[in-house]
Amino acid sequence: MKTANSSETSSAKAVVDVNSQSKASAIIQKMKDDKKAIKQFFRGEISIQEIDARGIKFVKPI
Amino acid sequence: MQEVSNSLNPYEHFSKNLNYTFTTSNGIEYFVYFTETSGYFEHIPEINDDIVTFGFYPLTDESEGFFYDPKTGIKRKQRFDMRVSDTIGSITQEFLFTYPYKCPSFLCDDTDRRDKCRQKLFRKWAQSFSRFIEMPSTVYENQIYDKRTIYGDAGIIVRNDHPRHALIRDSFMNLSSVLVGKDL
Repeated sequence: MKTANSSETSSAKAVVDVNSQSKASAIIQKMKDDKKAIKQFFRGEISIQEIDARGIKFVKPI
Repeated sequence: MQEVSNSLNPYEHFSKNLNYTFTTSNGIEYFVYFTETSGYFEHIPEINDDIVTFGFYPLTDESEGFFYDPKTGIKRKQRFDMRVSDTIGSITQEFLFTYPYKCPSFLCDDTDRRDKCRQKLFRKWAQSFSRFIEMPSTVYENQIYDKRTIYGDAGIIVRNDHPRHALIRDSFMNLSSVLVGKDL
């Protein structure tokens, strides 16, 4: 499981990457990273806090 | 003459906060999720709030191609299980019924270079859903690219009675043009 520190590191890296990539590339990369994180979450490999930290929000029931 | 079913035959599925799980007859557990788009479409503010991300996975990687057959005690090649697509279709229908103005979008996973296969499979599923879907909807597919690279295939499902159907369709189909424009 990732630590809080490693999440911060990957978030900081994402910001750097977004600035150096095209908009399309940055969006696709975020989509792929989010998909990977969601898969890890459902498999119990990362926590809901790590999902929240990435800015991923599951759709809430009405 | 073989009789063709005109109804879905989904597995029983369970929902918790709009995340769904179901288990196939081979014991393979799947999850299906819907997330807000986390600003993926913030450069198109007029549709950003309409789009959600949709995806599904088996809970274990080994379940994708093979399964353990308890009768023979060996791993057998997975048969194509139409009930999986029926279940995904049924869950999508439930979602579109609950959220008529939300449009599930998807990006075909290319981590194993099978993204084209997934896009083709999803298109086939979408066509079959249209036979019996209670809320007619349309699937639009598009390639995401910029000036240098093609990044992947994406799709979106929009209810036909969505009041902003045309705007969402056009915005999605022009997504790459807009993104390329942002890079100028």
